[in-house]
Amino acid sequence: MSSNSRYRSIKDLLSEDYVVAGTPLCSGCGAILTLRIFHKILGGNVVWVNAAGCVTLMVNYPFTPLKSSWMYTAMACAPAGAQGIRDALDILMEKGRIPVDQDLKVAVITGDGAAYDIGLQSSSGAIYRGLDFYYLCYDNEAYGNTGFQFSSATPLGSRTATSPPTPLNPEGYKKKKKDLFEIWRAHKPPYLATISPSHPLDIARKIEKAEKYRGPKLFIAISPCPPGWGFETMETVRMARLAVETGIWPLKEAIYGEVKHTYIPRKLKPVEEYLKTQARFRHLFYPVKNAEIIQTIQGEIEEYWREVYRRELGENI
Amino acid sequence: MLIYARFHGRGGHGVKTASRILGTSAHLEGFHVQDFPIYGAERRGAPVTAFTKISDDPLKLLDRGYIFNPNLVLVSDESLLSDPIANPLSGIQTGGTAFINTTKNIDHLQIKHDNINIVVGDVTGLSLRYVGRVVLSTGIGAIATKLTGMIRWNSLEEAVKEELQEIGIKGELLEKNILLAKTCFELVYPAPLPPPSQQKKYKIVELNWTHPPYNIPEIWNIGNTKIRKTGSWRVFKPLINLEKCTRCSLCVIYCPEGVIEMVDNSLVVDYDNCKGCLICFNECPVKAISYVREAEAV
Amino acid sequence: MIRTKLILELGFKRYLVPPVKRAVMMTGNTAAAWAARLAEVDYIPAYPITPQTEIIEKLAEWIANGEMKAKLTILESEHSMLTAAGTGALSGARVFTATSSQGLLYAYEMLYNVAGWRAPIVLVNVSRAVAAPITLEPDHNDFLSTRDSGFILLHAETCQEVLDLILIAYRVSEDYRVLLPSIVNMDGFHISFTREPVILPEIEEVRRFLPRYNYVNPFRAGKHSAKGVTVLRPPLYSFYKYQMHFSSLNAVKVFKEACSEFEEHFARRYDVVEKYMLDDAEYAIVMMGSFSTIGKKAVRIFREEGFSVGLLKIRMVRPFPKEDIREALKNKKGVIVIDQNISPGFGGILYGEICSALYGFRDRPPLILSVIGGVGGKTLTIDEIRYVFEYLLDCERSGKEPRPILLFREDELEEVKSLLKVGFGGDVFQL
Repeated sequence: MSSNSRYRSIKDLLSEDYVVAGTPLCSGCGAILTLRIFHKILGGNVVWVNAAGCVTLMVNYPFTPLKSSWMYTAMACAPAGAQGIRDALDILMEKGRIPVDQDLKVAVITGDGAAYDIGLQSSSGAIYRGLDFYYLCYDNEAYGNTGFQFSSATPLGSRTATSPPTPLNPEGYKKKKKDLFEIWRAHKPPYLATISPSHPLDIARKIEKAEKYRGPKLFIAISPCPPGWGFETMETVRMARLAVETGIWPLKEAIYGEVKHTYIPRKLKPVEEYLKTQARFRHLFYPVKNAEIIQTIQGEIEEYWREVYRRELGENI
Repeated sequence: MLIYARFHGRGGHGVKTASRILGTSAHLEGFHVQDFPIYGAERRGAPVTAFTKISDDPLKLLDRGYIFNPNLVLVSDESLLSDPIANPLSGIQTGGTAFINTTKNIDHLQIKHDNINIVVGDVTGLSLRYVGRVVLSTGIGAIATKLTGMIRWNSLEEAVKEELQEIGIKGELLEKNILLAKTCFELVYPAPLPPPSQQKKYKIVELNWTHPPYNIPEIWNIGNTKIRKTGSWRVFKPLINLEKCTRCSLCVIYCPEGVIEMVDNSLVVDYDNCKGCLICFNECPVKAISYVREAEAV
Repeated sequence: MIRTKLILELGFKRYLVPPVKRAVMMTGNTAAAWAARLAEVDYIPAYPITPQTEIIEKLAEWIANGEMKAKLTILESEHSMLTAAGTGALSGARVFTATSSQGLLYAYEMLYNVAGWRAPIVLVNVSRAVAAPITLEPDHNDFLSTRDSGFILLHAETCQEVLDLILIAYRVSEDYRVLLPSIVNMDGFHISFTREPVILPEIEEVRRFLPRYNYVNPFRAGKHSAKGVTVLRPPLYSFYKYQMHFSSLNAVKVFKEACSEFEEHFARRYDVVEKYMLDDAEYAIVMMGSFSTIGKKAVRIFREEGFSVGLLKIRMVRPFPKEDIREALKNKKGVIVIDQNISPGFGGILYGEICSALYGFRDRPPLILSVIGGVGGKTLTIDEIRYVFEYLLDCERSGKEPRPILLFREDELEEVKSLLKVGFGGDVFQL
């Protein structure tokens, strides 16, 4: 893709870190890894506006790992908090009360519970109004902070604390993941993308591209969660990579609603490889394999990519 | 008889389950019991605490909340001893007992408290041997149960089954845990647990209005988490072989904590804060990173 | 003489001070908008709701035609509106916003947050009874539901008071000794849509009274901070909550200081309470909001009939001006508290607060009667006030313990009956 990107190799990402070590977040947390990479590219002059979630606890009195600013709001309204800061800085600059070099980039960071569920209204409002902000949703596909209950971001078949697999419900979570990308895309924001911490260059290039636009710049990041998903902490990046390579987590962007995939796997790895390494899907394999559910998941992924191949590569498979 | 047991561990160690194993086994013995954990801001790996109160007299359990004067303390990770937030031995009853999960000999531990009984054992090692991974709940729970001197193996076995099934552990894994419990139960002897007494007299102060910004929940001292030293969370320590390393920098980028830094074409790890997630080990394309158990690291 | 005094107490001082500027007929809503304009607010996050909407419409008009320089953003809910208001203030903007009733309740979570962030915004609440059942007309349950949030609560009786209290509220809220947001309350319809003469202060004079807003450490590049930080250690939580309490208590003194300066600038005098023909009175009626004007009329009538009655209007609800209330009600023979709200299972909210302020006070009145009236905008008549006053006198004579009175008139009962008859299709009830 970006032949003109200034991020050509991983070494181009060795810039200043704005998230220092020592956070109280879980060892191997996918969300903080994404935030760290994201923040490097965004630079230091940022105010992060947060809604209740795991990352909230990153800034817990009297500690903050951030070298930037932080505003915790409440669970439903981080984008509204961003609106207040953006509006205030704008009017104060307009009135000449503060110099432009005191301006900050305003960025929202929330989990999927806030983005997909309780805060959907406030994010829709902010996107609709064209608020000039970044939104980083770290999607660990459940309410991780409260002990991993399902959210509308939970995928089919996942065990969560509120969708336990039982003989009556062998599949665990029965509904399909809400498509937040499409909901946000319907607002036609200038920039929208999915990202994965396994693909840091892709993150960097997307932010680089997004920065050219004024208005909402939205990112949904897959955030493997070792305790919630049930895998060893060392597997976080591998899990994110598997999600991309099995095609269950497509890497794509949409500029004013026009979708383009930034990574098109020519041969999808079987989704089983991804599912079977996580305890949340263990009941689909043990004691007996639930081939039907696995096939449903695999089928949906393939259907998705057939459409992508057709539309973006002009291929019919 | 009154036992105030306080469990210190890190998120993910299973101290809550350990406290419940003790609670349930005491309950099965017919004692009056209360147990509860504290959930705070802390995530997996950070210090957490759980409490179990046991008595033969319900009136002695007219009590709620934290235990500040335990007569039994169980520390699931030796590194907690020097953690100012966990401060596991604070308030321990004179003559009381502390169990510390460590590979070290008692003489090599830094313990400032006099007049307490220290019991040590390598529950992590036993857990790795019997269960194949680090599960401290069963081992610590079993040790706590034995240290009380009031609870029989049958009650403990029943309690382990109940509590582990509650968190979805069954079948072969449960059997392994029971074996681990049995081993730990036989590892220690009943310890002296003098009844807890209120050691500290609390003084009441009068608060007044405080000038801004001190009355506002804000942090101005940004980027200050390094002083927390999350390196103490580590179970396994990653080691970089600089001979094999190609300086590709992937470990620097993929480290969630940002503790690996490229300095003068060499890699430096901030072990004070490395939580030991081992993503670097897993992602290194030339396998230049290995790891050792923290307790065995020099 | 009595007549002159009445005019003075009602706040129509234009007859007594040199006519600097002619008063203008305007509604309470317009007066609120004028206050925001005169305070030169920077930021107005808003969301429409009856009967508050006119305030925002007016401000939108002025901003659109360039008469006022501020950023107006219409949010998608009151919850978001209040969030943006709070973060805007923490970014150094002077913030004005307004809502009513359901909107205030929808934003409820954020009231506690904005107060806890110590973001000194001013919120105008146009009181409207809370659903269900639903009505557009006012009572004070919405306003009083915020009393534990940490906001400074002020209640206006007249359109002039709306304007003046908003200006004073900015002074109080932004004072470093307080640093808490304020709600200035006015009653829907009876103030919000009621026109009466309002003196508009000169902007230069307002600037002299109300200095520019400077937040402690606003969000700025190069001066980073973390705000609204989660505080999970219980002692720390208690510490900050106690600090909010101390800061709120400071607001009594700060408000009084602001009021005396306000009088120097604008020749109108306010205090945390207003005493109407009260000092020499044997009996007192305690009220707040727009219906206090009806209470004042009753006082005047009863005085003419030879009864020694006065009225105490509560202007400041939080902090609760306990000392001023004690002083005002000292040695009265009997007190009637008329609540335009109802806490089901308890009764009148203000009654409970007044009783607690007087408990343990040596010179407290022996009789305190709780009356509920005007709930859901139900009118309050002189006859009803006379009824409760006579009941108070009866209790005093007979030594009976007064029972709380829930005002309801025969004509209203007839109206209810006729409506229920239609609603249920026949005489199926006994009332």
